[in-house]
Amino acid sequence: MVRSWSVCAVSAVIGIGAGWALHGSGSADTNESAAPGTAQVAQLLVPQPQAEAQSGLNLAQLHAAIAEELAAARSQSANERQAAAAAKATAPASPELIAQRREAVQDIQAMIATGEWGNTERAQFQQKFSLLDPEQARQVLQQVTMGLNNGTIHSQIDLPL
Amino acid sequence: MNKLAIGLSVAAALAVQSANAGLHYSSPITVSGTVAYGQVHAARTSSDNKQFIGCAAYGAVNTNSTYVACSASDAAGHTLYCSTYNPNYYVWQAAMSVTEASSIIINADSHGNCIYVYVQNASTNL
Repeated sequence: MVRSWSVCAVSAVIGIGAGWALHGSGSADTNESAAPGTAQVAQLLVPQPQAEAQSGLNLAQLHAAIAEELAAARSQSANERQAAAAAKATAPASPELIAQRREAVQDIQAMIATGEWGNTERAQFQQKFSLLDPEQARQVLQQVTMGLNNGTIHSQIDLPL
Repeated sequence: MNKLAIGLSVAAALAVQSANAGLHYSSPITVSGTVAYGQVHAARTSSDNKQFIGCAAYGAVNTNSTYVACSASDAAGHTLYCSTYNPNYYVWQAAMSVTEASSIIINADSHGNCIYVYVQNASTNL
């Protein structure tokens, strides 16, 4: 009888101990799941030392890396734009454009030959000027300027160019 | 009545005088060979109809060609014109900074190229 009671007591103690142990681990789970949102937000907002240690980057380094990437992207797009402009400038002119340029030079020469330069001539000159290749443009600009200075072109306006 | 009119005229003249107070220099346009200089305001308010000085800049979206051009004429009608094809940034900036308060110096070479454009903006030029 006494032995039976001893077995029961030992069983009860073991059961209480096991239950207490299970209760403790269950409580920890409950505490973690009680505010999962807060914990996740905190993880997003506050730099996590553990994550930093794993990736080897802190917030300042991350900012610097992003800034570097953005600067590189900007630089690349500027370089690409310059390359495109250079390619356009050095691209061989089409026969149509060459003909347009030839006609534009002839028109400007005809205007110079009249010897009179007013608002109409200035507007036409600027319109034709935009069609010319750089060397043509430089030459006609110089011709008009020299004509104004040596008197072969009479300007009717204060700023003929 | 006449004394009153004279008095009012003198008072008005003095009022105008005080409104234009401040250090002032007047420099009409001078053209000498390949150099021209003078004040925009002095040219504009001169009694003759000859004087002018100024600069222009050309740019268009469909071309890489640009130019700056400056002109001046003195009271006798002597003129100087210059232009620079695809000028550098500094020449462009100088030409485009011209205002009514500007005093300008233009220097051209024998081909009419603007080789020097100086622009000074100051209250003394007005």
